[in-house]
Amino acid sequence: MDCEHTNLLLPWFLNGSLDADERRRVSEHLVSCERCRQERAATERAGEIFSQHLPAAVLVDHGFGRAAAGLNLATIEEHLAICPRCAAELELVREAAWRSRGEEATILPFVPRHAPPRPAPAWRWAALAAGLTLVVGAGTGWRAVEQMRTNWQNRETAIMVDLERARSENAQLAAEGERGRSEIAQLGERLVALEAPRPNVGVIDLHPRDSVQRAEREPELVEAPADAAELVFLLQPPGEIDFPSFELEIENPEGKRLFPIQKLVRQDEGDFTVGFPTAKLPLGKLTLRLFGRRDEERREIARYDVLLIRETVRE
Amino acid sequence: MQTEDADLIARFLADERQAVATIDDWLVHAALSYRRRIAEGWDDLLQDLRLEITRLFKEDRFRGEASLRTYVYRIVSHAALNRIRSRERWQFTVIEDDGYNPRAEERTESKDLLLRILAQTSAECRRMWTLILEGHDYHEMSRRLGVAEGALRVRVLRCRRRAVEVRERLLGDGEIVRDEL
Repeated sequence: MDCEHTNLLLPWFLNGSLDADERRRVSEHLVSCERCRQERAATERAGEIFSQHLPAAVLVDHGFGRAAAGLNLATIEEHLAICPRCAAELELVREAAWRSRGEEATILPFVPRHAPPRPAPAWRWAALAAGLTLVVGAGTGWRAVEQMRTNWQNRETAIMVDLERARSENAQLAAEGERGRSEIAQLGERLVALEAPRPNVGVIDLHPRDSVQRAEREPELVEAPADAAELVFLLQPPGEIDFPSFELEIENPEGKRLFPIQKLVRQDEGDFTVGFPTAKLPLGKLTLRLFGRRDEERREIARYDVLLIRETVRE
Repeated sequence: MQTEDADLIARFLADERQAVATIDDWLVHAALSYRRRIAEGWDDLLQDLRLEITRLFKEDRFRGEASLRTYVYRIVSHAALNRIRSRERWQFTVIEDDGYNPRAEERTESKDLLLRILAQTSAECRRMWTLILEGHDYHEMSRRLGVAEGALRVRVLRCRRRAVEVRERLLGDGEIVRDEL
């Protein structure tokens, strides 16, 4: 590690926060470099400067209104202006000082009932001196009270800001809760619709592609009823077939498999039935592929073509 | 010293119940201002204060310049601040022997001088160095201050050099030029 890099890391080397590798490299460099050892000493001096705070005794004297020994008032005031920690501690001391005066009686000058009608000059001067002392003392006390009032006002303001922030967050949470409830209600409506009986079911009779029943080899044109909630395809079997189980796949024109159906059961009449929600079926040409399965063997036994269009509304 | 204050001290040292209760009430009342900051050490502080006040009374340290009550409140404030600060005390640590042999420098600068030097540094410098003295590594400081690590290290170095320059100048001719960092 070179001098420049070492110099830049010295503060963190001294506060012990470098990782083990960096610490080792800085340490090794310092062993052999007198100049960087001087930089280290300078870094320690800087740390001492930046760590300065008013001594506790000075804060206590200042907070209780006494002259602080060893520091002049200008230095104290200058430091309090730049050091939040010392300023906060001073407020604690002032609060304690205020508490110490909280139960002390306030002495007011009064004219005794039996005072002579014409007070002697000596008594007058004594009363004036007492009054001046009281004014000065009251002024000092009044300043402390004003400071306390300012402090409480600042605290009150801070509390009000926090309260307003909490209210705003509460409003946001309430809005999010309302949105959540709305989404739940919508999902509930969709669930009800899915479970409800479906009227106007369209039944489409399909014959295999290669069957003689097909008059043409073009895909059968199937008009899906416009108001049909569901379409049921009746798939006529391609002659004699003997499989324990059957499967069905539906493909779009690109050959993409849309709906794989397993465990298709043959009806008593010999045909197969399968139903779809109309909304789930894409319009256009569809190919239905019927498979027979025996254990691991799976064989296509028929294909059905259908052209699905939407029926126009008749007036 | 007022007669009643001297009398209260005498009765306290004689372990008279009413005098002990009065002084203890002052201790607790004065320490209330610091309770939130001290938190868990509160009971320890009160116990230490009782011992400290007893010692000061026995050594006749109260001169009567202020009322005994004010004196007790000041003692409490002093002890409480020291307790608060003792938890935050920092120091640069000597990690390992790296061949550094510090000269035994005689400290010529006073507390007043060091505070005046500090007052001439910029707020940014004080903030960065406060984090260093609190033991934060430069990764954490970079993230917290929103400054790239390289730039942070350079700024800290500039602050360090500036503080030392001000110190040298003040020890020399006593004049200080306000920091423009």
